[in-house]
Amino acid sequence: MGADPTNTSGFDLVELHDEHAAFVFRTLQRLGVRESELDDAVQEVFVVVHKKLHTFRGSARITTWLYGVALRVAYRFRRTARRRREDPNELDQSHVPDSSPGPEGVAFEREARRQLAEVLDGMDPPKRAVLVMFEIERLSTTQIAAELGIPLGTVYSRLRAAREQFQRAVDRIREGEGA
Amino acid sequence: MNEPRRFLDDDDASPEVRRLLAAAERPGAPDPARLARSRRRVMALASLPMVGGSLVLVQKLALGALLGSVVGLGVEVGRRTLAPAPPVASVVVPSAQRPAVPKAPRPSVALQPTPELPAPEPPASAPSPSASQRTAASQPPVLPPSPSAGVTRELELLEAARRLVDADPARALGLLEQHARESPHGTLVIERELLVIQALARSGRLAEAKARAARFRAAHPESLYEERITRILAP
Repeated sequence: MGADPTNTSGFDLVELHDEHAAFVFRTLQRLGVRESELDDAVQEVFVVVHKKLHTFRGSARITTWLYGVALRVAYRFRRTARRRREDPNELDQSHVPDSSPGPEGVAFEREARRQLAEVLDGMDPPKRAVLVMFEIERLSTTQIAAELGIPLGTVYSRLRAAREQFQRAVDRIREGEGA
Repeated sequence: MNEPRRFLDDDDASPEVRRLLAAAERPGAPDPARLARSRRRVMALASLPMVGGSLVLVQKLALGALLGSVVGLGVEVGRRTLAPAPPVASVVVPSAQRPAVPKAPRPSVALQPTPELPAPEPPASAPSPSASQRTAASQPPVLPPSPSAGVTRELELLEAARRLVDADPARALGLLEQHARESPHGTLVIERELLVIQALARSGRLAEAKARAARFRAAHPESLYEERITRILAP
């Protein structure tokens, strides 16, 4: 950051954004930040990066560091969202596909997405991210490890715990519907 | 280690789990327009003075600084003092006692919004001639709050203030006060404080700028911006 005398890391914030903004967007989505708050959350990540860039030593991959920042920002946004009791349909409405099979199909799919959002929102963000990457984005465990900069063994253990948590939450919904 | 089978590929998985996952849509990559908007904000961010340190630490310190910041801002803009009623510790100086503020004509370039910035709205009612005589050059550009005020909104205000701080510091102070009202516990409180010091100094209100700087230094003794503050306050 040539013009910024406080930056001693050698990174340029705008270049960092150019290279990693898509990763930050994706990560925050995976961690459960609402679509309506995504832009603000991304901005907050880069504010933190701007404030802390001089502390980045380069011993870790920059994406690993960014993931850590995004995780903290996501926790904060999720807490705020819970407090505001946002409409759980919000995320779904922005993702309704064009090729939906008629009004009943839309309603059915929308309800499934609402329930999915409810289950995912109840999950611990790091587990949620791994589950979304594996089950929804269909990334391999090796790809997940590379993207998040964590050991493959951690991906396996986190994924196993996430799948169990997911299954339990779905069971609870089903029990609730049957009651 | 074998790759686990995905729920959707596993016929033995719970039908409910499969139903929910089948309805999911993959998070898509952000579209180019969205990335471009984000980039513009980051460019604005990069131009702001930043104080190093963890966000948590910054926010804790900011709360301390805020007490002085909001209370002491006391910038008279237009016909009213925008800051809350100043208590004993206030450093508000009546306008009559202040050094003369250079009354630069409103530079039209300074009023032009950034690509993302809403255009300043005209005041709801025109000031009386007597008031306008005093405040013509210091009428603040009021930026309407965005639907989701957050760090993006904070950044808009501070970036607008930064652009004005040299050419029209009184208007910059108006924006900084707006930031103080909208985001009293915001992420960029400390950055605002630096700009306030700069705007006060540029306005010729050096005593106030020095008082603010002293508070800033006390709150942030390890600030990376000591040199910058010294430069701002240099005669």
